[in-house]
Amino acid sequence: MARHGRDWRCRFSVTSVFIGTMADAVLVDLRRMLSCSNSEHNLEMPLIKFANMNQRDAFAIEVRDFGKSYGEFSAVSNLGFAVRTGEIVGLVGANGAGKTSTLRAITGILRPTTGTIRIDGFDIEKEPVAAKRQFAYIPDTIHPYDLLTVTEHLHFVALAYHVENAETKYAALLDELELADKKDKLASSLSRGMLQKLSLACAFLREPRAIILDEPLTGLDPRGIRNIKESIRRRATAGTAFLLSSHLLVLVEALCDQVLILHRGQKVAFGSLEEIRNLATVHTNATLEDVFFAITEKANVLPPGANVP
Amino acid sequence: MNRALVYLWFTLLKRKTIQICQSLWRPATLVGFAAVASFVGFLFYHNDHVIFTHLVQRRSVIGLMLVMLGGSLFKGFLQRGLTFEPPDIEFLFTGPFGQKEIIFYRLWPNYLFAIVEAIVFCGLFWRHLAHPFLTTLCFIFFQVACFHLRMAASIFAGRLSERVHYRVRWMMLGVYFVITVVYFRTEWDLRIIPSIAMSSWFPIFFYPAGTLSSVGTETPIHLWALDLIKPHFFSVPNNLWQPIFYTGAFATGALLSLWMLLRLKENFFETSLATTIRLTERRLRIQQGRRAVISEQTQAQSLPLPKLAMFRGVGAILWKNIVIARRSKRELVLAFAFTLVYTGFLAALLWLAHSTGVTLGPDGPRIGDAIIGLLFFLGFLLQRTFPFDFRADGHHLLNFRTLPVSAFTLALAEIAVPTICCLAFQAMGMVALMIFTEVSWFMMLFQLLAFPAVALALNSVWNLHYLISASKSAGGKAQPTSAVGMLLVVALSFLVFFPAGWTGLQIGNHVDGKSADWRKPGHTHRGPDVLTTSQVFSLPLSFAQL
Repeated sequence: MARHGRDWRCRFSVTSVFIGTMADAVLVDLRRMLSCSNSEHNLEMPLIKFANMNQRDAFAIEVRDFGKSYGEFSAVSNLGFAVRTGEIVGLVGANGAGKTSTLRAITGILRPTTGTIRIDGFDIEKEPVAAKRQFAYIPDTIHPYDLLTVTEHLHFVALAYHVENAETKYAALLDELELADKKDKLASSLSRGMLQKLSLACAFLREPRAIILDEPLTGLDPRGIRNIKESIRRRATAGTAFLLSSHLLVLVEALCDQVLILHRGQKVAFGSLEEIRNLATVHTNATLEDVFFAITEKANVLPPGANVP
Repeated sequence: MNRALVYLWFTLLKRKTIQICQSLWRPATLVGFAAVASFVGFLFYHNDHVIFTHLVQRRSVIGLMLVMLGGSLFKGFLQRGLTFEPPDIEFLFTGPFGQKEIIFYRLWPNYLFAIVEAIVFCGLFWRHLAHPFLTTLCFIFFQVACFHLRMAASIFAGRLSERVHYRVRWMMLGVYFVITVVYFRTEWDLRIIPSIAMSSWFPIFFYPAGTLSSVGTETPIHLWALDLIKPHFFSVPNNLWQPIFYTGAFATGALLSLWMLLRLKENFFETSLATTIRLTERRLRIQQGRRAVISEQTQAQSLPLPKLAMFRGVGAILWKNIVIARRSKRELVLAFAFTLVYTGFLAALLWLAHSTGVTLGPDGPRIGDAIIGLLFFLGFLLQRTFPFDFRADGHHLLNFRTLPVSAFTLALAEIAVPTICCLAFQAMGMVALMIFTEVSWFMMLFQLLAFPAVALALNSVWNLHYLISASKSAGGKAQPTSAVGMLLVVALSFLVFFPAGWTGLQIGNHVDGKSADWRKPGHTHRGPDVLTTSQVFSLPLSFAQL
């Protein structure tokens, strides 16, 4: 984990961080094995307290009672969820469901109308700089600096996030993302897929606590898709939390531990695929696509604003 | 200062400079650069001219400062949020940078701009300034303060509700009007305060600052404003310390404005995101040749399927452009207003010529014909207002290539609507002018034949230019048109007047030869006057002489 010197958390010893991370990973595995209930992650329910680790170490992203309104229009309301360290959470929903508003609020670009958002324990509104050190955001449309080369983008990120031994990390990253032969190319000359890889490289370089991805596989070729999926899994295993928004339900099903379904700005389901299958009362072999349609169609019947059971 | 932001800014500046230098190899850019360099060189060479002395007079400088200050405040206030580049949203807004760091990053280009502009200012005016160095410093500080105020105004305006923003906007306009009036009164001795402002009940317009009880009891606004500008108010001892005092005052102003800007606690990310997206979209639309203004209308009554056979096949494009033109009320109103102003000006000329009995010479054309001939140029000015052709369909070029129609008919269908629009507005102008004067049949024929030809040619040239620049880019996407390219197209557009004018004259001469009886003495009509080509093209010059 990249931890900045000025960050007050540096006062904690390396040992405690290590123990916290290990405990975290063990708990994630335990939860997976035991398929613990949805309520553990739903912050509207009481949180489970762990004796050997504080809340900051447990959750990479916490969203409580989040709401976002644009004038009279309410884009998102009463949204609460959390992403644990090492967990991959998929955010799915129809167009206009409030996914982008949620992601932008988590990244500090939009101000929440109600509720609080914490990244690794730091409130994004009260401690924005400290919170922003803890995550990387990859938007759906990549806008690089056209006049910077691939390597210069990495230089900038290394400087901004105080990445140590940055140049030694470049080579491995560029190889991993098949960008080695493009390292001196200007960003304006890169294809859509290459830009996606560049953005991922910038995100991976800083080794953040959480990575927020909006449609991460758009424009990638099959080989690129497989490599990126493997990279995400590997980093999740190492302790990075992922919040991934995508319309590709197959990808979400294959990659994510938890799925959060948003509909008309409200959370209609959150849990593992098995849990939301039960919620949707569909057969045990149902895909995420079946579950998604079953749940959203059920929600369509209810009046807007009503809570889905 | 943040190291990462310094690195980013210098790297981007270096690359941009290299890019500009490299682009000079392209002939079009080189011509543009040479034109600008020549113009600046020309100004430098003649910088001892008396006009430069007038430009740095006290009243000119104060006027310029008022324009800069007011412009900065208005621009910032109307913008509502800072403008960034799209990559900044991705890298800076979500990066570990404080608001102050981002504001500073955004200010650096402005500081650089202020310094470069001040150097040019010093180079141009140093002969006419008593203290060139201190004056240049004052100029830099004042520009810097303007940039700070603009940024502060845009951040402040971002937090206001739509209703409050609207109201404050009008209040600012009112204040700016008062300041302008005071400026004209003090510096130019122009009294443009309307008599209504002198009445005792005028303070009611400044509600809630002025209430009903103020009416008749308080000092009238104009007296209050005049009291402010009494000579003692701005008096500074005119000695050696005066320029130093001014420099210190401007430096303090710049620092104070920066302090005020950095003290603003508003979160500008959300408003800046909206502003940046809006301006980026606008820039993209202009580059693609589409309308810069996005209509706020979200619903419209769908038209029924046209039954006319002419709208089948390639006519579908014609129908589509007619629908777009019909919905483009803003463009039509703009064109109408422009025609009204242009025709009004010509009508005024006609009235003047009629009242004074001016003619262009014994063998020259009648003044009425000549003025109506100036409608010729209306087509040139109007056709930019009607981009219902390839200019608006730039992003559909790939789809058009798959249509089962020939390229020629497709092109004709595309340019038909703007051509018809041009002619319709020219006809409106002509009818309006015909009320004021008698038009010779020659001129009528000339207009009937030459105007459509010119309108068609003008639209063809502009579309051709657009298509050529679009085809340079892969995928049929339009490239931004360079200033030099635009200049060449304008020059080429003027050339289309020659063949059209020549054709019209030949026909006119031919008809005139067959109708010699019109010239017989005693005929009530004066008869057509034969124009020479040089006379047709010297019409604007003739009017300048008039």
